[in-house]
Amino acid sequence: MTHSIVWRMSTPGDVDATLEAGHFQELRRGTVVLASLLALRSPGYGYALLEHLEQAGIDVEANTLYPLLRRLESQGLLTSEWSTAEARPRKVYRTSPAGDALAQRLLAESHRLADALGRLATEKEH
Amino acid sequence: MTATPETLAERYVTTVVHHVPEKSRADVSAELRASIADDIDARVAAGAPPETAERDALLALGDPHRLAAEYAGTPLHLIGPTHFLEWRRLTVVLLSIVLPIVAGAIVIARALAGEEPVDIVLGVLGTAVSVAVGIVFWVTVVFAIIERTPSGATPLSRWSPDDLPAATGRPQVGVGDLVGGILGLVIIVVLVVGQAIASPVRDASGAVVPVLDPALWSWWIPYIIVISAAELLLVVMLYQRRRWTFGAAVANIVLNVAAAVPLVVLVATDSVINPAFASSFEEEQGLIELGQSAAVGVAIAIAALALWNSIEGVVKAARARG
Repeated sequence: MTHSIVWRMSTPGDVDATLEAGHFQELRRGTVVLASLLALRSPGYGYALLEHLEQAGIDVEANTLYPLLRRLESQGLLTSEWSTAEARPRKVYRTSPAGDALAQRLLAESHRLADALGRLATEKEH
Repeated sequence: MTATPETLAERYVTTVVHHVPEKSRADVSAELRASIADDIDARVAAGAPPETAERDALLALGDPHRLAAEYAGTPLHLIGPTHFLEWRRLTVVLLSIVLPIVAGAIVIARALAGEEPVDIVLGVLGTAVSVAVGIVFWVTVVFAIIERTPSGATPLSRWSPDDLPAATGRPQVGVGDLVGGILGLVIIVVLVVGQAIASPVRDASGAVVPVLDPALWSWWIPYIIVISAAELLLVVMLYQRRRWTFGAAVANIVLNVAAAVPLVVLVATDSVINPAFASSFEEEQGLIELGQSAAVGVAIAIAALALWNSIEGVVKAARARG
């Protein structure tokens, strides 16, 4: 216990690493849906989307993304077709008009939240 | 027999789709197979040996059963936060009602059979454990099924501020009421069973003559036991809330009427006492007259108790409302 007190005193404002990871995960949850709907306005298949999102700075696990794509398809937010143009047949997804409309509303909401957080952050400095 | 050994990826895909609904199985397996192959290709292109690349690709996807549950949309928990509180409430209520009744019944039955106290305690403990395990098991099974039905996304009952226990002052319903309610039911069962097994009167052949009319077993005795059990259920619910409500007061009046009216009628029409039991006292005329005037007293007492208990419920409900 003494050690942790000393450690806490030496680094004020620090949060336990696993706790911090949990808060980050909580904040990012839900952005994967929006990111997928935005990215798939140009058609793409599972693995390619995974790489595309990673390059864009959206961290998502394959075992989360693949089932999510099927769920969004069943909700009518994505459409899909099997592409046999290449040697390996792939299921190609594309954002539907309904998905695109939802993506615009979600994007507006995320901007609103970012603005609100920005205002709160500057408020505190005064 | 296959000529070539199955690849790890193929075994992985088979495991996943085995738990996916049949109609989407072919589609999921083709898509997953392509995704894994894409991942392996990318790892090999980055310089990894093919065998390692396959293992790493599957490790990145994780436990196939977890992935299958994600595809199928089935929960990865037995009872989730939506139903946990209801599950716990029902389990506690059932355990607190059934266990005392079972324990009481066993104690009576074994004591009447003349068993040693040690054997009675061991018998009660053994049965109580198995009954408790059974209750928890079946309640859990039912809730696990509810959790997996389409309507399982919403709680079974809506919480209301009326459910809040009183925060200050003495609770209106305490442990004493709960113990009293349980004891009351146990005593009724003891008396009903006891009068049939351990009546002091024997007939000519030495068989026990029950005090109560055996004809009552076809309907009235089970009826009274059911009403008593319902009253105990009401007491348990009141104990959980710690205070009376008007709904509880109305239920209390209904139960009191349902119990008292038939009892008074049965006593007043002289249908309670076994005629064979009464006839054994024929020579003692004074005793019979005493019994008849006692019946009137018992009928009045039952009616008065029911009335008092009903009024008490209404008054306490009014007081709880403030």
